[in-house]
Amino acid sequence: MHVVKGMAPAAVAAALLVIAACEQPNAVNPQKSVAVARTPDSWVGCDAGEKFTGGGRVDPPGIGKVTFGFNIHAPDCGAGGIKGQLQVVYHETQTLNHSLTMEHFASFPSDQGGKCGEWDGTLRQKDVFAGSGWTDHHYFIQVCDNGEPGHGVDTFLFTIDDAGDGTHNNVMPAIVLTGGNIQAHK
Amino acid sequence: MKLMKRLYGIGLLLAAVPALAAQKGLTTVTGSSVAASVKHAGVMQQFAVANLPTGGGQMAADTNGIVTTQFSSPSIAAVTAGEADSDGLGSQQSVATASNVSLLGGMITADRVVGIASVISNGNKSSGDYDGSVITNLTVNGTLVSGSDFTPAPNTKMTIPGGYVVLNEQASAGHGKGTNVSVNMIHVYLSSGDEIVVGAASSSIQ
Repeated sequence: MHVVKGMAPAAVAAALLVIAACEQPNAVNPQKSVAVARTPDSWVGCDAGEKFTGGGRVDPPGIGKVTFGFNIHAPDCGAGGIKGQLQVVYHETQTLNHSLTMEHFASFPSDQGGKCGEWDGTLRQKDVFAGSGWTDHHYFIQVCDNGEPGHGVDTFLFTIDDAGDGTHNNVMPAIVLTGGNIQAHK
Repeated sequence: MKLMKRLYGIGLLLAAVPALAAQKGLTTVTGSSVAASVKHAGVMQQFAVANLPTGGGQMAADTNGIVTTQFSSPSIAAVTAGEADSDGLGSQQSVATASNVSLLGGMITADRVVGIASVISNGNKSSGDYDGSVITNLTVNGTLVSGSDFTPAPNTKMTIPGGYVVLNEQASAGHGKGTNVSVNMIHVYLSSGDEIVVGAASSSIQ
């Protein structure tokens, strides 16, 4: 267990909740995961830049293959508006997630000497296996660029408020990339 | 004849790498993902196509319930993302995926197909790789090739009735200041001239 440098106390508390949740092996099934709450006062500035891009694959235990791609640009640490997109696909359940909004952004040095970015917003989700239509949810994401090439060092964390009750009960812990790269831009 | 077809295939693969900007001194990234494509009787159909916007950013596409005589999959997706900074730092990743695929009426099947093409540059040196690309539970001609995650050796060729299939078909160029990488995880070539490609991803930084 670690505490990310540069985080405000509220963010640390939230991160600890996330890390505690990370110790639960299954995040896709809400019944087996731990709720995580994020609040806007957790956002800690932009010490590690205002732009991140990336894409690739992670294999969280109990969840299976997950592929993703994103870009985010938060000029003036988000005061100038946040632009970007995010797509995350859970392949075992064929669950598609597309971002609708990016609402808050922060960045900070990682404890591995790299740079992390985190943001939240809303997304549209569709479970192809279950035959569901599109539903909207709140999400939180944290990506860390810990060196090149990204696979094996960069990390990807993703949580979703599946139930719409204000807690993120669908938790994917911080997972090292199997392929692809996270890039923190200057 | 076979050599000509193979050269044609490689040509198609290289053509999948988007045209590169010719501006000297300016780092640019390009990328594209095509989850699946079918060329039949000279007509090309592509499913779930994502091309990186000019200047960078992200593009994604997905399609459900693809059923043709040559290819079927309940869920396919493509995403490409990347950007280059003014100082040359840049990164570009393309990901093309397909679930529960069946080609040519079950002649080739796989539970998952993931193609990933990734390039990075620090402004002076670039590199690329295909790490994370995988085929899960692949069968060819009814024979299980691998019962789990499987990354075939690059450009693995297997004969099938009426043609052949190339697994993990790769093309790359550069690795100096600029790098292009492209991968087709499954590429079927038929003697009729028809082709099927699943999991095509390409990324470039120049």
